[in-house]
Amino acid sequence: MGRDGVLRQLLVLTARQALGRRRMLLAVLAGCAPILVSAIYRLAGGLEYESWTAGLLDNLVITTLLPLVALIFGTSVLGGEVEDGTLVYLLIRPVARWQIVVAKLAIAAVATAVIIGASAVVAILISLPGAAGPGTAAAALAGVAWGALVYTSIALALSLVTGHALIVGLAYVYIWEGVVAGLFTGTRLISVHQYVLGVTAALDPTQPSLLPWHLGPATSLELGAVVAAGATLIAIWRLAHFEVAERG
Amino acid sequence: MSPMGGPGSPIDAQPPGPSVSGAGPTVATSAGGSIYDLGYQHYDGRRLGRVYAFRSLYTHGLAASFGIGRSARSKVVPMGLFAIALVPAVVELGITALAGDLLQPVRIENYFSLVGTVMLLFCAAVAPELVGRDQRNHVLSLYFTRALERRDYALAKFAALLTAMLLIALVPEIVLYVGSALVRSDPIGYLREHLDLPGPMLASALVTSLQVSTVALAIAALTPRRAYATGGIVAFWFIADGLGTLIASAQQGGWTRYGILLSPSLVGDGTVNWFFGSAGDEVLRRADLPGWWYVIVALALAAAAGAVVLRRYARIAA
Repeated sequence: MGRDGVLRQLLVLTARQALGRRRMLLAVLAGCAPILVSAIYRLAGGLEYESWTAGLLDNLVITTLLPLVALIFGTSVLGGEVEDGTLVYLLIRPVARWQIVVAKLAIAAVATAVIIGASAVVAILISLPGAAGPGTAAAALAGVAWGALVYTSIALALSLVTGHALIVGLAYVYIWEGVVAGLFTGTRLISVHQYVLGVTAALDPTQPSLLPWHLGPATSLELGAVVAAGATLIAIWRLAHFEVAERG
Repeated sequence: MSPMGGPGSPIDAQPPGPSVSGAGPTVATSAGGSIYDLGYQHYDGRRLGRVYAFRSLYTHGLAASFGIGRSARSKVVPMGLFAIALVPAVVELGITALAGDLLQPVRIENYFSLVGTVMLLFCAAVAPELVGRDQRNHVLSLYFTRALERRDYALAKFAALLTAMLLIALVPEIVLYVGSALVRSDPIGYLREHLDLPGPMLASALVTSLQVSTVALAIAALTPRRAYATGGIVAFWFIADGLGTLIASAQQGGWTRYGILLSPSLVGDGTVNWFFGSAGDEVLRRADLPGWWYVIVALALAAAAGAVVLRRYARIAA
């Protein structure tokens, strides 16, 4: 079996690990929350579709669910192997370590983007009747996909740097992005939340967008790319220097 | 209680068994066969009992919550979160020292809304360590063979987490309260003027700590895996928050305003506002529910979560 065979096997294995477990169930349940709340909103005969949908997208999907699911997937695809001691069996295969990182990252990012993206699209189509629905849904999907990539790359790097990757990631998301970025405006430059909002708001057909965005789309893409690339490089560096004997 | 001899004394023969090889301290022989007298002795000392075991588990749990008695690495997260909870109080004292009473962004009444997230993250980091490690290492049977009962184990862990939560909730507020007096030229006068603060401070800290620590413990007790427990606690809390806020904002008035009761953070805010008699922010004012409802809902959630914990430990395979 050649290297490509091993790499394909790695992708399939990771996908199965991510999809087959309780983790997936938790993620799908979380993804149902926006759909449920949209249905309740329409049943209650709510008005002001645009601003309520912007609230749904910002408060529930982009601020809460996206980082949460991305962190859970991102820290577990490689972190789970470290914790279970099965990483050794991966490292002895004839695959370059950077390829392992990229394969794991791809699965985590795609799984997050699909679950949260689908949930956002369905929820928006329910809560926003009329012509604006599909456009806003597409904008949300793009933003969520971008955020999924950046958040999972950070989470993956954290899982190779610290044993408390999930809690450190959550502290970053809910303390830095949630509290500090609300008080000190300048820190929004280093907030993935703002990169997601920047991309979504730029594509949103409701102009000016009702989302609380502060960065333009170009800045959001550039800074997001820098963060994702930096985190991935750190992850590759950590894995390249991972001593097989280190954790049994 | 048959008296047993010391090491080396002969023991009456048991039914003959297979002969044992290996070096033992003494071999007692008789007609029927031989067994080893390993020198086991009866314990005649004072039995410290259930209360002592409970207290030991509680103090150990409380110390372990902050990483005391554990490696430096496991101190980083709890101590770091504790320090973050203190930051607003220290900043406020700095502002008051420099600028006087001109602006007071951080007050005891709104402290919970600033550190509620820190309390949750502390629980999400600590509760899985507190109850997950014993499940992961399969040592629960060792606890349950002692004087400690299953219910005691659960209650001791809960008491430890609740105390840790109360420290996180109260220490910064006490620092702010005492500090606010000390930065002023008339500390006694300040304290006398604000005698109404400590009561609501204690009551609201107790209710909010009860709510967050029972919920965290209930989720953490259900799984030995740390990542699932941490993720589950944070997911439950923030998803419930998001649902509650969005449902509450679906209509002006109407039945959806009760949706606010789904959000544990807003229920916590409502509880604090009721105890301090303050109005609260826009979401709470629009819902316009009686303040004591929030206290009842917070206590009901705590009771339900507590029941989950007790039920789990009544049935868990040790």
